[in-house]
Amino acid sequence: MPNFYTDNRDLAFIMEHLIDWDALIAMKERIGEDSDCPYGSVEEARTTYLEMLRDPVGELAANRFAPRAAEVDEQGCRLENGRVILSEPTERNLKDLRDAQLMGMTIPRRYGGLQFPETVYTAAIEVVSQADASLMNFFGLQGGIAETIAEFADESLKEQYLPRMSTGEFTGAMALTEPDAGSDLAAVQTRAKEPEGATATQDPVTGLWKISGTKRFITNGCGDVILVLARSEDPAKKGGGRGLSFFLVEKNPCVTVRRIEHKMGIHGVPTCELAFDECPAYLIGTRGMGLARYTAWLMLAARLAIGAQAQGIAQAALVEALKYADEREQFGRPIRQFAQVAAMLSNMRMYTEASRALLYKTCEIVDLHQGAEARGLREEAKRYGRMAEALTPIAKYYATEIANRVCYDAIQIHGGNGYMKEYPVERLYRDVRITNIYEGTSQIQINWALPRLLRGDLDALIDEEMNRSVADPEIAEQRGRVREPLALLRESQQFLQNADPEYRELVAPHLVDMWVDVYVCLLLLRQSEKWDYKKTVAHRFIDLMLPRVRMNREYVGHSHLIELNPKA
Amino acid sequence: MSCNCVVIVREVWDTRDLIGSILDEAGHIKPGALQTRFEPEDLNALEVALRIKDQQGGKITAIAVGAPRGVEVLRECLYRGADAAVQVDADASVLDDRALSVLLAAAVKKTDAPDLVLTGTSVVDGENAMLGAMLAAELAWDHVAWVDAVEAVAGGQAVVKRAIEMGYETVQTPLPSVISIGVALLEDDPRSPRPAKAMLKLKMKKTPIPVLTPAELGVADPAALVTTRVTRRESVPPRVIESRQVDPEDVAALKTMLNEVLKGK
Repeated sequence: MPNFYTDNRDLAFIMEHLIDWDALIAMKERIGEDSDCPYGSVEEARTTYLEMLRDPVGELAANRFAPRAAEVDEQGCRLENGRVILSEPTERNLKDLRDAQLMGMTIPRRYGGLQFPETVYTAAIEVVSQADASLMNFFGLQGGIAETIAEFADESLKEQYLPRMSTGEFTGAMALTEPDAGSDLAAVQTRAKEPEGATATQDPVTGLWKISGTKRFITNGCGDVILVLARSEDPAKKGGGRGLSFFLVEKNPCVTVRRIEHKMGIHGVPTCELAFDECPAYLIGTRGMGLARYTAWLMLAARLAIGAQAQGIAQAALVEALKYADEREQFGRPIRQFAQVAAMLSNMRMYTEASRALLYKTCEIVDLHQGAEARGLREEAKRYGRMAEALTPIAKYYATEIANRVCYDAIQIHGGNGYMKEYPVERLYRDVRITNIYEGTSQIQINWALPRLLRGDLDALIDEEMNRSVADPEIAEQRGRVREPLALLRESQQFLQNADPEYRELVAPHLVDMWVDVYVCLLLLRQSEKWDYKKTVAHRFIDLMLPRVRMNREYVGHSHLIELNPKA
Repeated sequence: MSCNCVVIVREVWDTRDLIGSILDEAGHIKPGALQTRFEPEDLNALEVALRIKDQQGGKITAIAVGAPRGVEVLRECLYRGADAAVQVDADASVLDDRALSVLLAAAVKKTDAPDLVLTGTSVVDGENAMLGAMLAAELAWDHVAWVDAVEAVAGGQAVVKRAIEMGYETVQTPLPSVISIGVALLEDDPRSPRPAKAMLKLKMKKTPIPVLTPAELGVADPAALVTTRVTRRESVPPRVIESRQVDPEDVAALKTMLNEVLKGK
């Protein structure tokens, strides 16, 4: 039987040989300290994580979710009398996830979850998304939503909701976007009315807030636990983002699904317009911190998940393209033997592995950050926190853009057949298109990353790789080739320090691309130390990256802000 | 009515995706050439038992013969929802079906009153589909093989559906019976047996698995029961047929090729 974890050699390689489990587990698990900890040793924890990726995650994805994916896409969701009806195969998928007890992968054990690290959860999201991208929006967003509750809500709310999220009885939604507040969430208009005699930290037992307004494009908006960003403060006194708080709404008759969108892809998951009418809500955390703290936190988690979703779709497209290129014969031989097709396939594989390297490096940092926070290690928490905040948007940006490109090429390799519904690449191409849009467009990710790159938040990561001692002369030689692009990157960072903000934003994609190119080379070289095959990947990547970094350096220095307009 | 099931499970060589020869010159399997996996039809048998349990309750006991490292499948049964697992401590690789069925029959009798014993019909390492039949003979129970689904267990009878050539037949068999499960599960979706449950896996990874020695099963030397032996295996390389192409418009070339093919060139 196929298995989407063990069959994905690159992912299994990263999990088995590259993640620094010793450091990660030392931070996240309390082996020997806590009677609650189910592991007797680091090795046991590591084996348990990886075994879980094989079975149930990889088994389910390959043998149940993937065979249903075409049907899920075809049937989509329906809205009948205000009730959202999921497709039957999606209901089966959700039941399988519940039966396999996977819906609470990162929820703390004391609330019935598995309390796994983000690294393991992200790998599971990739594997599930490879089978059915739309299923990820139930499985992969559950974590971020539950973690937000676990991190910031009152104990009573945690006890009320987390156990039922762990079993999968409850699924979650994040209601942030509104018709007039998309990327600009500070413009949110949904109102939250204070209960009588309330205090700053709301006690959910004594009184509830009342939410009114409209939210749009809400993934799984028909879910049971809805996190809502709403305006709780008087706009005259505290306007913009400072007037927003974060609330938990349990599905009830005063939340109505007005419509569900007809989308290009991810048909299995409903995207809802929600109307709240004086809807009872619990306040999460502190008033006025809704956007700056809780939404930002939730978005970081969700961005990692979307990156993994894109990564899984890219993997699926790569597998389909390889299969087709082997089977399809033209001019008397399989098309994979033709130079341009072969190059396309190799590049697809290389970029898929490149973005995976960056994605899981990000996961490691996120886990170290969470662990340091939980342990109260302030220095480390601050250091890893800065890295995680800068890396996450870059990893999301890179994985989703690469995945789009890989799906594009996968269709190209299929030729006319790829344009037809009969082949899965057609679905993959539609599914992947949302990934670089939602949870922040690529442009938003870049704007988030730029000041952090210029501040040097990620310089240490590059230095660490450049300064590692390497025994293998071949790897050392290849690393030597990274010096020039690194110098160009540093030069560009320097150049933009004092640049006009608008110009900075204009050339930001080029700077981020330069950074990714340099860092990904180093990650691939590091992988080469453990797997010889990766030397060829790194070598190819460096060959392709050098001229690109030089080009981007040019663009950073010479770009035009002027709009082209023949009428002017 | 609840129904107690025993499932006989085996860990077998994983013969998928093989590259090159796995046999050495003496015709033995090279060490390290193969991984092992849960015998797929045994997994189907476990799935059938779990479905019976889902519907009408009862207890599932998984039994395997082998050294501790060779019976990781037992733990996998627990992860999927089996209630108990028993390891029979004997080297299965040197035993034939007769010896295995004597040991297993004794082990089955030690579990609390099973209504059904389920196992996979054909197993890739032996491929002789005899274990279920011999075990039934040893227990003096009835046996049905090539079963694809257990449709009902009630009134002292099990109703099972089995594959026959060009179709299916439904068979009634009294309890207790031994049932050998075949390839299919007769359902469109899900087509595959259920995977592990994550929480169970976390909790039961160190649960001790009780061991029965051959002596406890009344067998002093299992190897002495063996009557059949594999003395040698040899591999037959697959026949390579080279494809030839001619221009279909070129009648002469087509005729020449046909002539050559018919003459066996």
